Amino acid sequence: MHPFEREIYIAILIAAIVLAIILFFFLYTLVKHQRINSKQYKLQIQAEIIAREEERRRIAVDLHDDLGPFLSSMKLQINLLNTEDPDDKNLIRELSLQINEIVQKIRETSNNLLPNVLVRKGLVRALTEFSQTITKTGNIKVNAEFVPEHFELEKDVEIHLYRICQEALHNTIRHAKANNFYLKLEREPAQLNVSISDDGIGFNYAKMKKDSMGLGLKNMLSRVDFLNGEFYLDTHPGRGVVYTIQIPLKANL
Amino acid sequence: MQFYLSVLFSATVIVACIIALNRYHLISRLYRPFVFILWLGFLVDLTGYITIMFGVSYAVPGNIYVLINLYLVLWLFTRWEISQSKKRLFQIMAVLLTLVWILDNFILNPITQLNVLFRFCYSSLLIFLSIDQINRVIVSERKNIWKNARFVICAAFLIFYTFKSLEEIFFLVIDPKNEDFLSYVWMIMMVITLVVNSIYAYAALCIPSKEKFILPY
Repeated sequence: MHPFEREIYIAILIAAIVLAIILFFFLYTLVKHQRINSKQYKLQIQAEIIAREEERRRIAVDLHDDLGPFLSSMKLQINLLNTEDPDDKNLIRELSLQINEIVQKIRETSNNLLPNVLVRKGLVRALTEFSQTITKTGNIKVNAEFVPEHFELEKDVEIHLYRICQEALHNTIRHAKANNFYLKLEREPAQLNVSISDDGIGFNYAKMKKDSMGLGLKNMLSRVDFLNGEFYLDTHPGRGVVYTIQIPLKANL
Repeated sequence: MQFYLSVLFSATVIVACIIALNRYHLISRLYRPFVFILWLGFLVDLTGYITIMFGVSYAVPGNIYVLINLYLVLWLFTRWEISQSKKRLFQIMAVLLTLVWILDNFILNPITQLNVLFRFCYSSLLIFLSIDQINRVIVSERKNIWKNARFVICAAFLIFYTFKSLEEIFFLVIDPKNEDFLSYVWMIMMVITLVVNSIYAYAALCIPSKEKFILPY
């Protein structure tokens, strides 16, 4: 081999090593920044979810504790009005009925924002009541199953799981044209398995993802992500929807 | 012929220099060191070619230029950095590489010749810093990445200094008598210079303007 040729091979070899180091460093920093960015994104989503929940809680409490008693006191004062005029008496009765309706609406709104039963009696009771309320409307039959029959989780986790189930059911009612909605929560020592399904029309997931995912589904994903869980979605047109969610409990409890 | 081509290709940096100077008062202060980098490069290249034409060695200004250029690039990266610990790291890098420069130009070799050790170290450092910035922009940019001045500048640095470090290796390993091979390396370097100068000009156009100050009412 000519000495020049040998030198060129050595130079090329060194150059290849240098390029390999550069490539390795490129991939290494790409992964590093991707991790940092994904962590920051998660923190941002978490902050948004916490702020949203806090806002809902505040509005629910304000509605329930301030507006409700205020209207009840107003109703009492109207009923105390002393009049002999039959028209005025009718007006008082009507106003009293309207106030009753407003108080009822406020209670419902407050309950939708933060269900009392969820705060006081936990997730299982809240979901059972929610299922019964929806079934009573006659639009869809909600079948809820809990294994074991009663269990409790950390309050924050319960609120997020309740919202996830609520969102899934709303999606089903709005889009799926389903007759049945199945909800199963199974508590294992280290994780909670949530299985949600319906017998509706399903949808083309790939197409929907391409067109930009729906807000409801995004909310569910954000909450599962917040709980460090895994989210699986199985659906095809005409074959209903199956959501499978796994939430690790050790990390949250 | 090759020499004049080299002069011509190097001189194309003037386009980027003029654009950058024209926009100097408009651009964000985060990018101002880049304007100095361009102008310093242009002036040193010009001085270099004039000294060579008069038969004087370019080694001393060349060796000083690479050190000042390192400071300017580190200044640019420091401006871009938010983290205080990384800013401190850049200062440490500047001190360490200054020591390497002293070692290379006063202890191991005389300053009167073009020395390779410091050039290789500083090229490698700039490659790693550019890659780090590029990847940071890739994962965080939500708009058109090709219009992100930081990405474009770092891409230009990456192309230029990668080939520069390879060039240093070739000139170090290969016998100067192998003129054919070294002249190919030199020609490729000229083309790379032309490409990088074009990217610099585009980057100068992409540099974001200063935030406009708007009074509330």
